[in-house]
Amino acid sequence: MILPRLVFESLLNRRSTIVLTLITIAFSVALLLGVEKVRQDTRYSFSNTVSGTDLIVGARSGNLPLLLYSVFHIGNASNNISWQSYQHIRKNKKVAWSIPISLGDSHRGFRVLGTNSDYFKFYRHGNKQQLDFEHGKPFAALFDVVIGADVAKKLNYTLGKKIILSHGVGKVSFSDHDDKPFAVVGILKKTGTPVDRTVHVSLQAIEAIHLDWQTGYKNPAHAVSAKQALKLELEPKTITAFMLGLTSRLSVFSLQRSINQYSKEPLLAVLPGATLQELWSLFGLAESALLIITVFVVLSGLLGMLTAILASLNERRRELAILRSVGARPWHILVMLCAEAGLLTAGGIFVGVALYYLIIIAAAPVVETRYGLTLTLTGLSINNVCMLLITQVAGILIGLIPGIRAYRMALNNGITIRL
Amino acid sequence: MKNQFISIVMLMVLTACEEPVNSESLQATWEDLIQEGFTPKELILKYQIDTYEADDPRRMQLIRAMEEEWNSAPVNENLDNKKITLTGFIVPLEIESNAAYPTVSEFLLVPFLGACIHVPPPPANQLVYVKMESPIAMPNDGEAFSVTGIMKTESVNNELAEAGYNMKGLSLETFSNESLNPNTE
Repeated sequence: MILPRLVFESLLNRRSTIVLTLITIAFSVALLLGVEKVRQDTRYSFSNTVSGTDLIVGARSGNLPLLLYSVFHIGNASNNISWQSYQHIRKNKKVAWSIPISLGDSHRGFRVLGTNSDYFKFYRHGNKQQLDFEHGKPFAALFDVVIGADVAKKLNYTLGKKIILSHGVGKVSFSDHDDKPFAVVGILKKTGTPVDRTVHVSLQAIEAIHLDWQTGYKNPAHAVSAKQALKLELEPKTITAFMLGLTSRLSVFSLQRSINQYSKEPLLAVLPGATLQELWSLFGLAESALLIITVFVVLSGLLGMLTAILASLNERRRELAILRSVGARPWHILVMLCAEAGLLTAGGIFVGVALYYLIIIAAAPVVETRYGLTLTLTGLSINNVCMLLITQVAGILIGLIPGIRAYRMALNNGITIRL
Repeated sequence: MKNQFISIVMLMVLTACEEPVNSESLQATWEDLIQEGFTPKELILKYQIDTYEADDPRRMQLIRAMEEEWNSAPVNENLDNKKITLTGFIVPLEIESNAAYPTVSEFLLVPFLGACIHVPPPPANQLVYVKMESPIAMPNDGEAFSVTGIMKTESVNNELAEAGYNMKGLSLETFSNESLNPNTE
């Protein structure tokens, strides 16, 4: 059949205008795939961060804020919780292990996390993976610090580097704890979680750097030097939150209830899995809206193609007449125009997919540093393939409109063109 | 000869312990998870809390003692190793992040979700810790599911299972028929 070749040559002949239509469709396809990717990777990022933790406990605020600031370092705690409450709860026979954490300081835009050796022993991420060291080991001395992979990479830190911590969590800081320098003793392997962007110190270190900050600012009257601090007994008085692993997961609800009703202090205990579910149902509305907008963008791309083909139909009357004169039937004309639309859509999809992958490769590093979102390079999922197939079919169906028009023209005009 | 005898005996023992994989599953209700003699009705009768007036502190004492027993009630051994279907709500515990979309591999099956804080949470014998054979898609908020699996009852904690009801989840489906509530008698 000469039809495929005819279709291809016909499009090639009008390539200067066709190319623009192709690019429109390519952009809309890339957008469709991109939106789906952001949706997938956001969920992946969140679910990858914490694993095997039964309860997260902090000051009484709300489920989502507690999960966000304690695990994802998004937002800030409204209040700290007392060391006594932590000790009392971790001694409960239902508790298998616990990790205390203290937040509120930063280092050159990266959050500082105060914790103890239990963090390196019990924290799990991804699929129950432990934290591994690329270089060095956990902190031992008072002014030791362990940094995440992204911190080391961005700031070019190696073992032994001396750093200063800053008060507050801004991108820059004007209040440094510069009388107490820290030394990097460990660098963690990349995890793809907020751990990579965290600077870890001991709870005692957090107490030490705040010895002269008890009045809310750096008070020279209360200055304690680093050397003096080493001699002090620095048991923490408060922490920001703690994570719990239980001996039996079936006791999670009763322990959660007893923590929530703890009479000595207003505490809140959340289940990470259930809270993530809540977070995602919030996203759900925004994601649906985004998807609908993207569908409309694809539709407008296809309508642009329809306009282009319809507009050119008038000047192709002679061409169609010639085809009719060499033996083409009206239905051949119909099929030819549908095939043109189909081929154009296919070309647009192909270029769109290539564009989508190019954008991911180009944008991934920027997105990761700015938003902490890891864009993974994966093959097209079943969902994606379905969307592309629907787009292709839509393209062919849209081709029916100029196709039927041309079919009627061919029937009415015959070989002579009535101008 | 001796080796062959041992291997035959082992084969018999192993096949005897095989799980009922292809059998029909029992439709269970949350009441079935309570051991005989420990249902709320039976406990109320046992403790005879109605002998005292509503304001009487002795009634409060009896109610507290009754709640203690209710909370530590043993598991129903009759359900051990049975393939059952139980309808309830899912509280995700382990979320797998390797799929295109997050999936849930371990969850708690509970009789009600986010209930009022006026009453205590469900006791351990009204919860099932389910480990799915293959992870399921993240359930929508508040959706009820009928979960089918092999129930295992444990009296004490060990490395493989926890005290209470454990289930090896085989399949589940969304519970949609509103008129047919399987949890009422």
